[in-house]
Amino acid sequence: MKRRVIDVAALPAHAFGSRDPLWWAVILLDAIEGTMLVLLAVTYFYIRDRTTPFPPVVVPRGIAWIATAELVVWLVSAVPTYASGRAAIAGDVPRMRRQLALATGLGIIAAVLRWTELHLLPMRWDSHAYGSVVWALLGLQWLHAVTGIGENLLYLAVLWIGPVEDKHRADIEVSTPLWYFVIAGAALAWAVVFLEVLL
Amino acid sequence: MTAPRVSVLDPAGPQAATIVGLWDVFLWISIAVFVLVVACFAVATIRAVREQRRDGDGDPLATDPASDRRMIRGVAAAGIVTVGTLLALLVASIRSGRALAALEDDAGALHVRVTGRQWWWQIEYEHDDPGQSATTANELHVPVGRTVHLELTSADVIHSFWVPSIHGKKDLIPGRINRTWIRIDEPGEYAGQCAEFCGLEHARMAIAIHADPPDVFAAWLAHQREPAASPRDAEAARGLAVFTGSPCVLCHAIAGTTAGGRLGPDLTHAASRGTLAAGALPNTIGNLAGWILDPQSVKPGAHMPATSLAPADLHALLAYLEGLR
Amino acid sequence: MSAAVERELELPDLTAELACAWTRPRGLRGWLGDVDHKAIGRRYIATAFGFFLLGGVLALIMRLQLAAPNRELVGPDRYDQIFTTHGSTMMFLFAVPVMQGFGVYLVPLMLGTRNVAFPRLNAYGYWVYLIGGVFLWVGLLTDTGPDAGWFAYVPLAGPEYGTGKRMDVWAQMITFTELSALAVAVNLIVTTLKHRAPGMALHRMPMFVWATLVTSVMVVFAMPAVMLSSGQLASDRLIATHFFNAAEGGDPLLWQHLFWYFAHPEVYIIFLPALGFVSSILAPFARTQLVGYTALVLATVATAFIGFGVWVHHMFATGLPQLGQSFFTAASLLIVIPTGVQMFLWIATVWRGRVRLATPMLYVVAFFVTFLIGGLTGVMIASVPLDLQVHDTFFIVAHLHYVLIGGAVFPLLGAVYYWFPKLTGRMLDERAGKLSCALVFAGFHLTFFPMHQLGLDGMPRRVYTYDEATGWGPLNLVATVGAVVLGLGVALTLVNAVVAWRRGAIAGPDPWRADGLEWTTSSPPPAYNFRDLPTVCDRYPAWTSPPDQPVVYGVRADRPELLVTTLVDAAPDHRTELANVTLAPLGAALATGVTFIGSIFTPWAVPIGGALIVIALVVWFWPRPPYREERLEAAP
Repeated sequence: MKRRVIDVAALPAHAFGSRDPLWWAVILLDAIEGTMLVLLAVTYFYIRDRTTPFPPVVVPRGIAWIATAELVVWLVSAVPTYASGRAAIAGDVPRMRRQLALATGLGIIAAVLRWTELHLLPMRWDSHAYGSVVWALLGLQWLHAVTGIGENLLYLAVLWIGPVEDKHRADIEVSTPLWYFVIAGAALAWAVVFLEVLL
Repeated sequence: MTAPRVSVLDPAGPQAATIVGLWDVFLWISIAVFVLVVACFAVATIRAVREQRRDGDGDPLATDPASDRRMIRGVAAAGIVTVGTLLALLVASIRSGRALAALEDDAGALHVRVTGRQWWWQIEYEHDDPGQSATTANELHVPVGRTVHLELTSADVIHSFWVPSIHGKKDLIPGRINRTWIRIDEPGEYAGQCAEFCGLEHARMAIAIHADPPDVFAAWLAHQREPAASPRDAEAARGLAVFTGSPCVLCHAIAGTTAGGRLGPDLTHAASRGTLAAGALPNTIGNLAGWILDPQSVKPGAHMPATSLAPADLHALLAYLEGLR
Repeated sequence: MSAAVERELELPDLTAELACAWTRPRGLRGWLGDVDHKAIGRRYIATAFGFFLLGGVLALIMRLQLAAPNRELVGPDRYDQIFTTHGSTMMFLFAVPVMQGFGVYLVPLMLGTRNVAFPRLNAYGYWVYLIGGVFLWVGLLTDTGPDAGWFAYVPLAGPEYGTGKRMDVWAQMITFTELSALAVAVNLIVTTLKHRAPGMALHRMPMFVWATLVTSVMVVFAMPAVMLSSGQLASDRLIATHFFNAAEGGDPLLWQHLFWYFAHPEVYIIFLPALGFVSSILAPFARTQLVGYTALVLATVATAFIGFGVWVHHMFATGLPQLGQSFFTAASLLIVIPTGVQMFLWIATVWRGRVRLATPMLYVVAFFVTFLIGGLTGVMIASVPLDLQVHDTFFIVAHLHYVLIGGAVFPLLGAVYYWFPKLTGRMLDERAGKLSCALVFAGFHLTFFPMHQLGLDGMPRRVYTYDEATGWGPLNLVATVGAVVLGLGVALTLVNAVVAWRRGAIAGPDPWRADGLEWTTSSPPPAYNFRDLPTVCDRYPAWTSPPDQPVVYGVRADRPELLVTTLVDAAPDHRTELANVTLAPLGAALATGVTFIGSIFTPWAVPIGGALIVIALVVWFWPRPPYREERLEAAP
């Protein structure tokens, strides 16, 4: 007996951008971690409001400049990240490798700069509430960075070892919002902690 | 002696009375809403059950647009009534809030500082001359008919000061100073207890307010400002020596002696207080003896350690403490 | 570009292939590595009800202790651990997981698909939840239970006054349960947005799916707040940060702001799915379409939004400025409106329909009356002057149980009686169900109504005893008797479930003649949910789909594959392959457990545990080797 059907056999087995369910998971992860960063920023201003004198210890401008350099590195890394996404859509695996490696390299540099800033800060997390919240904000953003770098390294391993299936290209392309989120987090942390120091 | 008054619905001053007035408004409106909504629901349900029993299950896709429109209008009307009622309640609440704030402008208020501690209340009536400030514990004495401005803070964790017949509660938070204004218009005793969970003996952190006529209060306060009574006989003198020679002085102060500890309640006029351990026990000699020897059996977890004393020493100490009126 | 095509053909019977692709292998590895949403959903529900019973036992202990003045059943230390664990268990180990468990089980079935979008994440969420719950209870049973309240106010919960590891146990339990809740939320959002049956446009989704979608979005924005604040508490306690230390620039009120910013939305996270239950039960038992579907959806969304803006009403006694407080009073009154509108629409639905008073419907009636009272006392305490009197008293204990038990547990019990046949293939006993409902209803009101008066009489919360002179004895005794009756009612449902599971009447696919897609497949459903993936043309698909409604053809049956549809209109877009049975989620959950539990004993747990997590994630995400067919295709 014949039955009316909707035949989907011809549909592809992968998709890019917001068509891919994984893209939505990445966006939601950005929302979750972003909420934590925003609340830490709110905590910073709450503590700032209640602390006199503020700041209890002055962060040297030199560290703020390192943080600015780090932010620039992050912002630059957006370009190869975007390019790796386009390459993924185009199916150009060598280009994917290069651009992703470049982005990851820039991310590692930025993460090392952040590590340096934390080392040079004139206070520890247990010095006072200001120290606690600065370490927490910079530290959480650094953790996001390390996670993004780790994920990229995993992708690079797959890209090098192969085979690179359509699904992997889609995974890599839809993960680019995670990197953009790390960049946004770096910008937020810089604006909250270091902008004041520079001005 | 009548029991102390402790009820939200038994106000003895303008603050609690304002709140009870607001409570009545909310309560009666709530009852009316409940009756109305439940009635509608009951009528609808009974009707629908009867119809099902009589006519069996209907066709779930059957529609009656005219009836639906009537129902939507009904729902909309109910929604509008809800909004209006909530608006009225909001206005009533804000007005009550303003009325409660009126006492803050009273320049002639009596100023008292209350510090919450695990698990007792430190009460200080300050004076320009620090030597004249009176410190007591767990009992707040106020003059009838006069505004009292309470300055509230905590020395450890968050507590909450609540005497329901007088006013709503206000938290005592370390690192912050909170303020509340009260006035008691009827003489008597009013009870309350700590209303923010503060650890093991949160349940035994009672506060008592004694409201006296102004002259009685003035006399009480003047007496509280005086140093402790000297021991009235040899045994009491020995008791004072026992006190100053024991660890008691690490925590307790008695004005006019060398004892100056600030961790526990001030004992200068301790015998004049009605209870021990923030309402845990009536203040009698027997209870005091038991409290000194083994606080943990009365208030497990209390920060006061047990003190072992030879019977003669204990007797002397009690004789001395009994005289600290 | 390749597209979906409407055709007519003879449908092959792919049952054997589907069973092979979707059924987990027998044995321990299959059980531990199961990624079937139905299995995981059942585990969430069973585990959550297990914690519900444990939390209920704690409640009975508290009621026995408070039944008369100066009882010595438990001392203050044990009592403090008990009430803290009771609240934490009910809020974090029962209420949220059980609602999410029903979501995990029902949503793919209601949407007409075969699994959630991320099956391994689903499994991971469950294991993390189980670890966190067991950890909390091991703490209680070894005298290391948290003792500063489920809300953990500082400084009492902080390093200076919260001695020992007790509050660290609490903080890490939070981490586990919030991680689990976020995992489920992400899964349900993506499944709902991208895996609906073709034709199920957003405005045709079942009300319960809307409820879980909105709830899951709330979880995404609320849970991070408590992850952050519990992390700050843990770091204050373990590595001497000063977030809440007033002496070093921190503030105890910062904790309250961050905690309640999460915890008020949390109660709506518990409550909104229950409202979804109510809608789901009303339609079939009044045997009519819901009145005002769009308004019901908008009311749910409005409640979620406003729910994020009322948290300060938990802090009215802390001395915040009056103007700010008035804003939160207004917001707390505003949130009554959407819920009120929902209740009026349900009355209209009942009016329009013909009602069978079976047990699920009886629980809806119980919900209606009880939640209404809770909502009205909620209106009272939205007012600052009134709240200043009854805050932190048994009046609030009454209010919170009226809204949580009345508003969430009654619909939940109705949902149990409604969907038990679908989960198990058997009907619960109807007479026992009605009796249990009566006992639960009577017991509940007997227990909690007197508490309103106790609060007005001056009885604060969280007290392990009280003096005879207070006069609180008689009402407390009444409450204790009520608690026993309530417990009996719950026990009756438990017995009913245990007996019916093996010996209940066979249910068949659709015992209630209901409206959702879950009723168009067998009870219980096969591992692959539907032999032929459905499409829909309207709401209430089991009622509205004509006999020749098209089914989906062309999704592979030999691999676990899902159809991905577009966001708004649910048009077929592409196909995606899911993971099969795997132990990676369990491994990752164990690594997570080692990290967080270990971290309260030594900071070394963080790098070591972190390394374990990295290894577990690499194993999880490393691509499986390509299928033979694709390899052959790719070869030159």
